[in-house]
Amino acid sequence: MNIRILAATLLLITASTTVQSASLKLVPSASTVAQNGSFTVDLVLSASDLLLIPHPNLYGGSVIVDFNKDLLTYGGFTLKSGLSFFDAPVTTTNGTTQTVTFGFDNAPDEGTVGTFSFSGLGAPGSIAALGLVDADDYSGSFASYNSAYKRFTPVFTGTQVNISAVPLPAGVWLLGTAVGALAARRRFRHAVA
Amino acid sequence: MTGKMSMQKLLSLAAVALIALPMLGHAADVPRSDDDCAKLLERWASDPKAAPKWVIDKCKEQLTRAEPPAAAEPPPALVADTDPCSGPAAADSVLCWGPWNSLAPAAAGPDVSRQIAGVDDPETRPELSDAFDPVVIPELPLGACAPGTPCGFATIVSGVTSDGDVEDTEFGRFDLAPDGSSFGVTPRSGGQNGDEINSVPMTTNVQPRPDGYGNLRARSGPGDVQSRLIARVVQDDDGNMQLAADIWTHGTRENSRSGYFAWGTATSQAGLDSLNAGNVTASFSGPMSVNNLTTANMTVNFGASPTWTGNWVNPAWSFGAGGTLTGGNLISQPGKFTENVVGTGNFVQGALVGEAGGPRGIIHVIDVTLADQGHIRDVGLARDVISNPVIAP
Repeated sequence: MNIRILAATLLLITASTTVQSASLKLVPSASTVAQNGSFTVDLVLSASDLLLIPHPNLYGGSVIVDFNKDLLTYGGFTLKSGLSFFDAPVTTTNGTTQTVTFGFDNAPDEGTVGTFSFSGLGAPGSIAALGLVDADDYSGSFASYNSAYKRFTPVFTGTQVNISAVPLPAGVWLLGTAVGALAARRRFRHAVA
Repeated sequence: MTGKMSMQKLLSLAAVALIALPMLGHAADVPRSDDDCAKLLERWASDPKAAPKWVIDKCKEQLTRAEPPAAAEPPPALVADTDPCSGPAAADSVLCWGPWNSLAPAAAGPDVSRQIAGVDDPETRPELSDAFDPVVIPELPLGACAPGTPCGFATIVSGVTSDGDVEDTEFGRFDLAPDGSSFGVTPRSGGQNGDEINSVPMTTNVQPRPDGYGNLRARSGPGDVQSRLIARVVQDDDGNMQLAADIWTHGTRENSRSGYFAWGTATSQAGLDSLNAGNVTASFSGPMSVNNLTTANMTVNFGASPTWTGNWVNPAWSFGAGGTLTGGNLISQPGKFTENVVGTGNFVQGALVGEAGGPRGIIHVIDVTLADQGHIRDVGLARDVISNPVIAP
């Protein structure tokens, strides 16, 4: 009996901690990108499970995205329509690490906040990681705005992409096959003659 | 031998005397009063040995002989029964007093007080009495907000999350610089022992919101001590804060405090006088900050003795309160809480902020214990529901 109660309590605690969480994720358009090829990364917020605040709601906060500038080239960040910056994007470089910092307002409960543009720069086979953290490492910057402001701490999740060699067009393979066939035919004719 | 004989004679005489004494008494016929007889008969009724039978018979006979009491004579006429004022000598009677058509002039000069313009009754001066009436100022746990001055209330917890256990949540006064670049918090327990909180300078950023508020984010620069504000604000045309509410944080990484606040500029005395003179009824509504799901609804009835009522509604509970308004300060009265407010020490304190025609509201704190819900502490800004549209997400 006691074990059942304990298990139920643990389940309840687990459930309650789960539903209170919000997340902010980086979601790439592809897991593998070609060297020198372009790709995008969405910044996606999920906060509809936050407790003690009314829903739907609006959210805001500031983030830092970091990456290796030798592997990726940053092309910009486009905020989704209806949202606004309270801190416009600022790019800084420290060694090989480049960061993009900005703050946004009025994001809805679920969905894409905005989209980063990148291109792969690293050697084929390299893996480019993109980190995501709260720009305020003292108290956190995220809050819900309606009806009164309420602080919350989302779970931040970065991402990574694989950089591959530049893929050859399909026509190149067909041309090679045709050339090979022609060469074989010529050798065959020479042999017959 | 002769002596012995004399002694025997004496003893014989004594014995005869003892036997004869009751008979002497009987013969003597001792007179008794009727009261004595009545008492004796009463005692004899319960104790037959209380007296000899002949005494009882004597008493019975005496009482039987007693004559019935004479008929009572009519009492003499009282003075009051004879109206001394009805006769021809009434005017000379010291017993007569009035009725008079008017009082005779006193043996003195004319009553000059009646000649003073505007004084109808020299015995009373109602226009002056108020100044001498004791003014009972109800106790304000967080102190009063002076009319026309910045004023705010805050919750205080340890850490940077702004939320904490209710028993570890303290109330305090909150002050905000007009440009939002600094703030101060004074705990209810006082600012002694270094408890007073003063922010370091912050840079501010205000962005418009769809609901008419501005979104203030204030943040200090690099350093060990950090300060933050994330707040709803209403600004005037010069960018000065008129109303503000919600999140504050201050301290170091190792030792920080945070909480929620509601702040404004207390309504001026002229503004209060105008509201009271007009017997205005104003309604206010808005979310609480610690628990966003709680909505405060308050109504203030201005006038000679302004009062207020309010209720706080959460999906899980609700309660009501009422009280008085002293100056612009609201305080609850113990007898005006709803029945589900239990225990002692419950209070609601607030202050009217803003002026007519501008953003107006009530900043307030609630500290109540609800049956089946426990202790609740919160702070909130309720806005004038007439001059401001309903806030929509």
